[in-house]
Amino acid sequence: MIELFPEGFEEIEHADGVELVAYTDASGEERLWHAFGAARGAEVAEGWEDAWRSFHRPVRVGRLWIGPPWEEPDAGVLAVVVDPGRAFGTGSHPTTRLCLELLDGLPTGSVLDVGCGSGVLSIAAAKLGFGPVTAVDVEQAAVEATRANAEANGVEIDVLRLDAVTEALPPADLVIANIALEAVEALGPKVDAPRFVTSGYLQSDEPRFPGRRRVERRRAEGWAADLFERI
Amino acid sequence: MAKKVLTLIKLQIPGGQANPAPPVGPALGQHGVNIMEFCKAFNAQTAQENGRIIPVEITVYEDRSFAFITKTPPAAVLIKEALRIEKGSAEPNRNKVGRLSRNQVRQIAETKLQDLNARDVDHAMLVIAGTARSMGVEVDL
Repeated sequence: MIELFPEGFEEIEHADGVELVAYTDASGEERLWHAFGAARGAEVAEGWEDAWRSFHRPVRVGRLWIGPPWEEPDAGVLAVVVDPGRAFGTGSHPTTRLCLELLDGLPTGSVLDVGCGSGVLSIAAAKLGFGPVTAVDVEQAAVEATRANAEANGVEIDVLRLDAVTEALPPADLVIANIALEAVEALGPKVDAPRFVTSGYLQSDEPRFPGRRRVERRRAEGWAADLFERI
Repeated sequence: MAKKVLTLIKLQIPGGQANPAPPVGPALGQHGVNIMEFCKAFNAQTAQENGRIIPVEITVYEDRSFAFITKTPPAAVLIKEALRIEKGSAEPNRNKVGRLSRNQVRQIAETKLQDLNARDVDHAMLVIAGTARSMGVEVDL
């Protein structure tokens, strides 16, 4: 099965054995027939990409409310309305919440959000009074999602598509990077900012950067977020 | 209060490389799981595996939150890695594609021990040897 579908497959256990499931097209079904001599095909119900939306609930972090456009914000909050589309960042992920908690306590200034995803952190930063805000992501889908969400929230964010690991980064008072550990570590030395908020990794991960000390760590559900300052 | 379990999804996918494409997207998406959140969590936990096939069991709760545990790579994957071969034999009884030393079998058995229904390493070695033979790999035990 792995040879036929190197991208992976599903196993479904039944009382009388295990069913191996490939999500594939007609040519993949033919390969299955060829390899196993028997296969059963079924269509995946439409709408699987967005089925999670009906279960998505808004979250509160301090003064901020983060929720989808189809929910009504609570009264007296700073509302961040985010339609993540296919990009990461509904606001409900622990790393997003931890970054927002760290952000809310910091002196305002310019912000660079690296790996902006849906733009949730950039928009929240703008609502908290930070500015100017620049958001970058290597994925075009994320750049588009951030632009659309910034407009929907009435905040001004400069959104750029760039690869933060290989390309130069603009300086800022605060850089936020909620991405994978490897990317955080790779881009750390290039960050030109007095403050650096990092997340996207687990509590067992401990990134270190020369010339910076960690001044705060927050944890939730096995995830961690750190605030670093220049020494 | 314990959350009510909706379903259990078992996948075998490359570690550190999950993305919303098949199989992850449709397998999880049709149950209402936020696909991108699973990918981020899975990739953070399996980054060091760098593309090795990892079995993962995802428990989906009624509120569509999820938890998952990763298992050791399948024995066949570890055997192919140890022998640096692309695939097993199509005719395992006739065409042999490699030979595992006792040490190699032991190493694989030790890696797999936690996920095998085996009493001890010696028992696990027999299980691994059986998998190897079914792939056309000879075994020195």
